[in-house]
Amino acid sequence: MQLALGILTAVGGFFDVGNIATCAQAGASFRFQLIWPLILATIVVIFLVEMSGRFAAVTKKALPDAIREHFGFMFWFIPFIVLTIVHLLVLAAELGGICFALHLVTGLPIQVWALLVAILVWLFLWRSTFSAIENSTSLLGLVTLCFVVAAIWLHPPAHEVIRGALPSMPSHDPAKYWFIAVSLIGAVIAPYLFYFYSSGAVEDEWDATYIPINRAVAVIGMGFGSVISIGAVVVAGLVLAPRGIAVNDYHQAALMLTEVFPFWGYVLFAVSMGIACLGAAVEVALSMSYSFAQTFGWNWGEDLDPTEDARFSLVYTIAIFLAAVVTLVGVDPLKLTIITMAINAFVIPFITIPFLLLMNDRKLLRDASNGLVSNFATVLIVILGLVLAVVSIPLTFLGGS
Amino acid sequence: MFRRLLAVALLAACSRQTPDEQLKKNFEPVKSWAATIQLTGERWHRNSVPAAFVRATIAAAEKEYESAAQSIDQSSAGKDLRDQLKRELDADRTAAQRLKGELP
Repeated sequence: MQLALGILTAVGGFFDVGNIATCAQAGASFRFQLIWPLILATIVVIFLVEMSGRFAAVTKKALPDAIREHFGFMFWFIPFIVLTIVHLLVLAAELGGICFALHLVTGLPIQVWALLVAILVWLFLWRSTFSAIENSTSLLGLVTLCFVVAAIWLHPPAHEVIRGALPSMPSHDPAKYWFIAVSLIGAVIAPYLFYFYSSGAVEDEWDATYIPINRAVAVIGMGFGSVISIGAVVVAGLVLAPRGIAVNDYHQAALMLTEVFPFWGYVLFAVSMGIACLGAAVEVALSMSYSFAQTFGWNWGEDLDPTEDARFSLVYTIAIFLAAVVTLVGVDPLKLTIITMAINAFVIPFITIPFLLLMNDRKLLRDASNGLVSNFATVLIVILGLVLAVVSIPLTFLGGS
Repeated sequence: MFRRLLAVALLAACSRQTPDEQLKKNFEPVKSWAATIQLTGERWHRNSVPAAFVRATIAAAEKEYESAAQSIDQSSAGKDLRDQLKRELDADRTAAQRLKGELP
């Protein structure tokens, strides 16, 4: 039961505004040619999530806590600042996504929803427990499986999809191709994801007996989650690409599902976007509070009453309202999302290197420290992270316009 | 892979486009928006999307059309190309207006 719930949670929680935007752009502009970055990023995220869960289960500590204690405050300070900036940008993008979903349903302008959405997200965090948040948003997030159903319904040419799973050079517009590839990777390997996951494992009081469950959740959950993203690429590749529609605005992406489920396709897109972004917004806001509390050694825990961890609650309160201001002043939610995903890719090495160093500490993790396979993957992750860090910013200027 | 990525980034950074190429590139989103308006119209006629969505999509397309018109006016590309793109833009604007006129 625990395993099934964990997998459902991972599947439902995988898809967010970054995935919707980058997958729609990838499929619309390059059909199935950009499936391979999703597969590559999924393999990396499986390793990172498995490691962060294993770490929390064995040490009963969340990552920022352990990094600060182990390497000192100054070592963690730069990754912490980088993580905070990314948290705020992603939170703004997710809130923008919820507002856009409400705009689709009601026809009212996006900005109208900014403050109301901020209050609702804040209330949800203020009133709920960790497991209630985790299970409700993730189970509702299963609605995003509609992208997989639509992809199967459209009968994609199997050989082309399989070819897209292998890295290839772009057939046209190389700067845009590589920019979207980097953004897809940044959307899947969201830096907050495994920090949040480790804090969640501490909240759920995992111990060493959870290691096999953690492994299964990471592999099966993230694997299935990735299938939803691939489904979105395939649908965009079959519905938007043949008509020459590139996704420069969420209104264009909103037409993706109407081929298969006419009116309900429009509704399903809005609901999928709203729920996926709500789940992610709550996770990101919590993750930001976790990182602050663990960095400065405050009381923390979503299951505590806000009066018991006032500074923890204050961080997500301020973060949510700052992020809402971004939507309120009229920043284009799609452009913000795409740029944020490229920045996500840029910060991967800053965030992962301290964590990966810690995973090799045998004093701390004993038998559960990284083995040969995990270390091989670790080296590849660091190399990939460094490559992404170097190329993501120039590509943002060349291909992200 | 790393070398290739860097090479692509550097090549793209160093390459200079002619005014004609630049204008054609700037005009690409217009084609995409024209196709979007057509698909949105088809979906609206099939009752797959609400009128409010069609209105918002037309407004987003018109913003892009306005920016493309400015870019044509400011471009130093050849006159033939500018005239051709202006005609295409006028046709796209007319299609958007026609769809807007059908809305309740």
